Amino acid sequence: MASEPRAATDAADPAVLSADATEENPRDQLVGYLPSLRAFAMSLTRNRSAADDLVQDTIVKAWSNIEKYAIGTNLQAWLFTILRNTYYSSLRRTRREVADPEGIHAQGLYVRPDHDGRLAYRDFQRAFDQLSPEHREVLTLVGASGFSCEEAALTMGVAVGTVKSRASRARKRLSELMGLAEGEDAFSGVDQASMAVMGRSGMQAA
Amino acid sequence: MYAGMPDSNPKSKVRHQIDENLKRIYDETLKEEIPDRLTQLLEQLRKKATDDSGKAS
Repeated sequence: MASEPRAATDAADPAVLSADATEENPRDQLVGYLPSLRAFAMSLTRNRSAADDLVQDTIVKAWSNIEKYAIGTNLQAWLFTILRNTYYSSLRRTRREVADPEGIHAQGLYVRPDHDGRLAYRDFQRAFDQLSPEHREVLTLVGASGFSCEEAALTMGVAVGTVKSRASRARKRLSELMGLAEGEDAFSGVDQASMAVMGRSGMQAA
Repeated sequence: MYAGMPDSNPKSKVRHQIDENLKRIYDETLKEEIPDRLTQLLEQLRKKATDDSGKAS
């Protein structure tokens, strides 16, 4: 009754906005999270029907375990946690058959930016597909979903520092896959001409 | 869906563009229509919950 914890999270989170409606059944809110659950599932599976299967499993689990959700806490993070745990446990089964998910498969994709200097979206997607699911996950959570590093840490069940270092490795890997040396300003036009300019301005020319 | 702010790191125009593309990938799915089977699933679960609480089986 005294004071409600106002700053549970600063994300624009419907679960937080309705936190004082304690009577509201979180099950009724699930439908509103379907779009973000699908988007997150797509980032992990990179396959639409696999993503929808994953969302379906997530919904069933969330529904039947709803009493484990503490009302007023971050419902989206709770749902994302169920989704990614479900995904990784099914992946663990698959991975016994697929050796080295990140290595061999991921080698050798080097995409230079278009001549207009911007990396083509399609090429970015291809590079993104080559990342490990763990890397796609962390980048999606902190780079696209609007989650803070703290929320991502909560979702992934790791320390905030782990989120940051993993995100940083993931970005580096993504850059490598796109043929960008670390620190190279490739998106802004790495054609012959700008290479020359960059050489002159002291950036690595090799 | 607002992105977290880029850790103020001026070196990284690359990073900024990576985030733009990440958001684009995410938002593309976000904007898609929800498949019927997912909304129907929720309806079924709700119906089942109502039935069960009625029957208390």
